[in-house]
Amino acid sequence: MRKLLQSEENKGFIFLIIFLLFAIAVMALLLVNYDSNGEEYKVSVIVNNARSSRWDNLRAGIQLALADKNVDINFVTSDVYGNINIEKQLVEKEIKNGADALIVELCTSADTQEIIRSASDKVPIAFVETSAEAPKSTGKSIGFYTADNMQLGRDLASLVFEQNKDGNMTIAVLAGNQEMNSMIDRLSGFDEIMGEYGLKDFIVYEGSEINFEESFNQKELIPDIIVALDSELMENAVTWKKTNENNEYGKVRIYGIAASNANLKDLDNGYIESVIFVNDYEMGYMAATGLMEKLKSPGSDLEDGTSSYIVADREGMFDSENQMILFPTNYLIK
Amino acid sequence: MNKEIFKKLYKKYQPKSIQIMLLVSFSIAAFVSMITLTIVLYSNFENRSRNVSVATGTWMLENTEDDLNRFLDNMRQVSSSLFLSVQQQTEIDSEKLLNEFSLLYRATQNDVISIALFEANGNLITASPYDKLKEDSDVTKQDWYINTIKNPGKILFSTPHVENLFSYSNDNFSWVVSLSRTVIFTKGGQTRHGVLLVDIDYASVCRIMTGINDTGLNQYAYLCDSDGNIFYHPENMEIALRKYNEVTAGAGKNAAGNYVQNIDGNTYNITVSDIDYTGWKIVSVIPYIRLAGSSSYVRYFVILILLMILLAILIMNKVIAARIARPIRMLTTSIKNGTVTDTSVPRIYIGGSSEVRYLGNTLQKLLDQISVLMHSILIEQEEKRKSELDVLQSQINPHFLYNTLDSIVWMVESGQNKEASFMITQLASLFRISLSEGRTIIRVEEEMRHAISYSNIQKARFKNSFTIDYDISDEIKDALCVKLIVQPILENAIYYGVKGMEEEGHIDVRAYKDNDDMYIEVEDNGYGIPDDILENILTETGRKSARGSGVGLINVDSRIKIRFGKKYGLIVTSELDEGTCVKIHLPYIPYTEENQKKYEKIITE
Repeated sequence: MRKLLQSEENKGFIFLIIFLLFAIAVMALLLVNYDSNGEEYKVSVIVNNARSSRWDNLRAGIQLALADKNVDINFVTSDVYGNINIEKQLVEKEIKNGADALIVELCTSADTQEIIRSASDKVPIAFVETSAEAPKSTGKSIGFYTADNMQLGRDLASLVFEQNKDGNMTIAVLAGNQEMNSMIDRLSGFDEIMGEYGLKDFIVYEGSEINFEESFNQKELIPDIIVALDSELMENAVTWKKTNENNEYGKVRIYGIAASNANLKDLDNGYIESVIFVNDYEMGYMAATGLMEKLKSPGSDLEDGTSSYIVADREGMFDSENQMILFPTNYLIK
Repeated sequence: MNKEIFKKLYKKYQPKSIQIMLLVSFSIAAFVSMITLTIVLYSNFENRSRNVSVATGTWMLENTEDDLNRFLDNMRQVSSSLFLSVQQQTEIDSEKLLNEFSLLYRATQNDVISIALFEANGNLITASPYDKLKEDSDVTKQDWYINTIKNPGKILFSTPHVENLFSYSNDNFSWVVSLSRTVIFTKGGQTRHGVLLVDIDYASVCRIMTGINDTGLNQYAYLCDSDGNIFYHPENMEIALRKYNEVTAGAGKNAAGNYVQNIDGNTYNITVSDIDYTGWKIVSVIPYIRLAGSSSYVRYFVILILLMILLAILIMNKVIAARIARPIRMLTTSIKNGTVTDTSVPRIYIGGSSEVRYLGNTLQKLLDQISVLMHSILIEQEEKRKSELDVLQSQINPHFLYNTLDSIVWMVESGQNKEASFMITQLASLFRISLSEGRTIIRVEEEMRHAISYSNIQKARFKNSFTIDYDISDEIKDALCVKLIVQPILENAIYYGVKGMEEEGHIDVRAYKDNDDMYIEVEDNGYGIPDDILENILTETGRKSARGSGVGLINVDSRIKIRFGKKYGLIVTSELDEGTCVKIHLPYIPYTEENQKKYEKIITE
């Protein structure tokens, strides 16, 4: 070889051959990786009560983003109700079972550094619905996909105020899981605007579940307005309203933040006055798209995303501009 | 300027060997042919691929269009059937109508969401499968209803929308296409106007469209209204989320036909077809960039094949060029490696093609002739030197002989018979060694005896005005020596060194061995030689300026070099008023008959 390289002519020839071999390797690599759907990915979606229709749009958005990408999507229900340790075990179990990426709804936004650090070291994770405390070092492997919850709370307050300007009103706010940043922000935004309107005396009920009978009927507290900051609480409020259709409690006006078809049906049937509908479809689409890009290019950053929302009432919910967001068609087309 | 740069570059990089010239030429020719062929074939393949794709796409579009027309025609027939049912009743009978509606609904429920008949004021007369409108529902505000009232007698298809007339028991909302028409019926003995509605399941339309969009061909199709507003697209949700932009969106405004458009640098084959009676248009799009011939995949593949062929061509050409150039290379190498002398001629490679063999043969003959010529020249030179030496000796001898004989006569006359006898003996010895039976190569001992005889004669002649000492190492006495190389040096030392000195002149003659060499030194303490003469004393320049027997030094030096090589010869050192030392450098070669004969003949370059 050394003898070969001693000649200038041979040197040039050998370098040309090496260059050609390199170019052939590059082209072969491009061909192998071209539109490569060969690699199969497993993405696990861990959300509280995964069977709930509340997640239909999120699920549809995820499925749309991962369609034709050779991805096996596994929906896992957490039902951990604020217990971050159990959720951590669930996440670790999914990773152990071969999940390449995770989409997770955290049950709390506090004390989440450990779960985020340990999981994001292994797979990229998209957190939906709520932000949380995250260690700085995991920036590239995690992304938060939520609505602008503070603004959402503000808009909801404005909506309630605009439609109920007359007289003193008793407002009950179902604030949901106040360990989640999203719910904290919604309440803060709502509180901020109501304060500006001079309506600070609303009653706040925290927790994912409310016993309406205990909270209202037994205490003979008849709220004029119930504001639900989360979809399932609003469904529960409507159920309670229906059971009290023939008494004073049946007259309560319900507002809230909606995400499910049940909420829309209740809106269409007049049980709910107006809703702010969070585009979970977009949230799921963004989270899944971000994860796919991360899986395809591990060096890339997983960027945070903010999903949109619309205000809908009974009259406007079927307007052509709202229809596509409220009633996604991808299950018809795909 | 550019021409000069080009020339410089060409000079720098021009092929330096015939093999590289062949390699470069073959490779360029093969590569250009290959590229040309590839471009032609690729272009042909791309055109054929495009034509096949467009033909397949058109066929698929026609099928889809037929399916869609057939489906919508069926729906129109459903509507017409209902229309006849209503028209045939002399007095509208809700119950009877409901039965007929329900029957028809059950028959078409895979494609129909609901069927309903409304009065012109929006009151529901009958409907199936739901018989009750939603609370506060106002059909007269619905777009499809308004359009129907505006266009009496026409069958109208709406664009897809979410059905929102009836109360469902579940949470589902249905996307429908409303097929509506005005209808006249009799109620309470009065002729009334109404609207007949068939809500077609939009999913059925989507299923038909999915057929063309899921073929795996590089084609997609969407539906739009007559204004070009897209209401069905395979990427409907991405468009709603603003993650996808349909670049051909304006094409729906065009009349039915085939268009090739260039949008943002990409070419699209767009086919627009009208869907009967609906005002809808189906637009099929084939982006050329997605076609097999135009896709990056095929391009990568073609480039990969090209690179591999280029690699193979280069390697093959290298082998072929090496094979063709090998005889010329070997011929060149054989010329480079050999040196022509008077005694040896390098063997030139003779092989390969007839042309190269001819070249080799001719070169070999030339080199042989050169060697013969060189040999002749050297022999001529030696002969010339011999004749010079002979001339010199013939010049010296009479003069030397006259002086010596004169000295002998003087000695005899003055009664110094013993000294005269010694002189005659020395003279005889001198001439005997000079003759040496015609040999040029003699023993060192003989040469030294010759020198001693000469110095004895000169000492007697000059009345012992100088002294001379000999220190001859025994180990070199039997070594080879060129004849008569010491005497000329001694003569120089006597005549130009010590003769006529005020002080006593002295000459040392030393002969010794040093490794494989031997040295004979003649050193005097005479006047010495000026630097300008010393500098050229052994050159042709020195020959011209040399005095008397100074010519002898050059002759001695040449004769030694001719016999033993350029490495050997004379070394002259001198300092004015200090003396001169002439050192004869010879190889140490034992005197054998064989060696003597060998060196007698040898004449080196």
